[in-house]
Amino acid sequence: MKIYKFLSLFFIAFTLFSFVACESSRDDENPQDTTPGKLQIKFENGFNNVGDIVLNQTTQTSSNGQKHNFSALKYVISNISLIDENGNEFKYNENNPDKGAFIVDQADAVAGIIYLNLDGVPKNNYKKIKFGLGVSQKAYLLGQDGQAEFWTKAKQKGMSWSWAAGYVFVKLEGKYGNDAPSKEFMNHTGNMGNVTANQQADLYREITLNLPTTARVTSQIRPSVHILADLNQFLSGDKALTLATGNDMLMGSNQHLVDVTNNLTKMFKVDHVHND
Amino acid sequence: MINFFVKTILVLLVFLLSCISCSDEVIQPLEKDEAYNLQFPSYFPEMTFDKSVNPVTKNGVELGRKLFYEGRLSRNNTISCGFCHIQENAFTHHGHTVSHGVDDRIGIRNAPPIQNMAFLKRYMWDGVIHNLNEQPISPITDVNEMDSSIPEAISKIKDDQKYKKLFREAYGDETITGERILKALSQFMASLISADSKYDRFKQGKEQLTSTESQGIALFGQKCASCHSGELFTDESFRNTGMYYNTEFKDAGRYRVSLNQVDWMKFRVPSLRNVEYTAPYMHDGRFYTLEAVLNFYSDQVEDNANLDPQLKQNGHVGIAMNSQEKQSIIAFLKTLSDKSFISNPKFAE
Repeated sequence: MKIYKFLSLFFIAFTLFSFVACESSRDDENPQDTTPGKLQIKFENGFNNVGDIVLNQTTQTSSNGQKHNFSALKYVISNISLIDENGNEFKYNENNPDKGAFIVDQADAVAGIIYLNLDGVPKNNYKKIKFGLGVSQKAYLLGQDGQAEFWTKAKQKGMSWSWAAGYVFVKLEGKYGNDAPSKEFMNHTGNMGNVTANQQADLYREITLNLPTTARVTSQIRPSVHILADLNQFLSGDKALTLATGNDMLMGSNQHLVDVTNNLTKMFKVDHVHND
Repeated sequence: MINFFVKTILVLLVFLLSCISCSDEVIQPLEKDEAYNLQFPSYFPEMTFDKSVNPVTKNGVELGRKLFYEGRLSRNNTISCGFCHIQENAFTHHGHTVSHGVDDRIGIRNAPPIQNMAFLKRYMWDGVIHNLNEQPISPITDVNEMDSSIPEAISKIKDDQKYKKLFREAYGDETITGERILKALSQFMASLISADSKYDRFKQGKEQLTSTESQGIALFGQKCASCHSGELFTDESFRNTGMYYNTEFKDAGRYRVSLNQVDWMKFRVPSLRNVEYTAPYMHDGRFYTLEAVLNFYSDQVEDNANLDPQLKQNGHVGIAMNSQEKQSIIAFLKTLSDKSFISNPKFAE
């Protein structure tokens, strides 16, 4: 029995000691305060050479000469992660759509900007940001009950099909034409359910961007990462696309929508970071 | 030491108990089945759904709901019935002129709402189906919709424990047959009754219409109700309303069924309940707004040999309406919107 007594005393002593140790380090070096902070991401959707997109207004000419505008422009951003100077990655609610997925909807833009706010970001100096366009298979396969909140949100935003098909990743609707935008188009990209089982293309893409200025997250500083999305990439990206009767009303993940996805994957860049 | 033994036994007991409770979950008692009460107002037409052939039960409806949202009824497991029939839009494919199916193949028709099916005599835009129990075969097997077959669907779900349980609860044993799938889907569709619109509350003396809505209801009675008659706002007839033949879809409506020239471009008169939620309109979704539909009836009806006599009265083609009258009619049409129907969790995925 003696040994038990000794052990438990030792335990108590150790616990107390570690408590004290914590306290002192906190008191001594306030700059090393490890309280997590916040980070804001701003998405600004534009045509690189024209500026902010105003729904139903801003008209652009594609590299193939097609005039087009948008009446709906929305996409899902998920699996955001921040990478520090040493390459360590902080994953923000990875594969947890209820907490870590967002819908960027141009209709919600305030002065051209859509804001995403992240809480509980560890204090650190971040050099890169990474995020997913769409919802990963891993998250989708958690099932409908595993993401009831985001699924409902997606539904309200028109970013869902029925569960068997899943989420709409990017919704682009508007008008196009050679002389003026007159004919309707709808391109809705997204995975068709379980892509492996259903032998479908996987349209989920991860994008990593360098931050031109280090984002210094502390409990005091909430950096703001301003991302520009250049929607010229839709039709005038790596693969120049032409809208026509065969592809102007598409949903899912067929080849045209794979091309659209690959083009859009290149549309993001971080314009600047505010540390304040 | 005795203390130690007691503790060990306690721990073991807890462990054992947790095991027992686990296995309990596997042999869960079956959900007790009972008749499903299909409630509808007294002024609705007589029910056409034959409950003696397909009794509607609580568990049958629940199985039907699961199947309605089951992607595996389609060839590549992605297109459930609910894909094109979205509850929030009164079970239509909102925003899509015609429906998109497997591999994003484009159909030829605008997905009609699924509501008050238990009171209809014919289904589909061309009325080709007369029995709700048989209706789902059409979308399941259509190459542009779900592109599958009943045997294929059965083979995909027959080993699923969830379905074994649901079939046992609904039918007494876990045998999955095509007939049982279809009847369960049909029971779910029969349960989709929309009868709680402002118009219904007005009928029941619970709510007043605004003056515009009242004008609308009177104008509707004069100008629309000869075809959109009764409390479901359809006489279920087939009519040629002077719409141009859409060469993109090559769909001449009832003619596809009868191959009789008199049926050229005749389509079933649709119910107007929840019409506010079901844009775009007409059999090919050619009109995006109710205004466009009424503008068509006032100005764009094309005269042709088959044009319905109702649309050519006293030598005048179309329905005479001025823009104020149209606005009143639309105000009335919006009283047919049933918010509780499109948000009822019992019908949701």
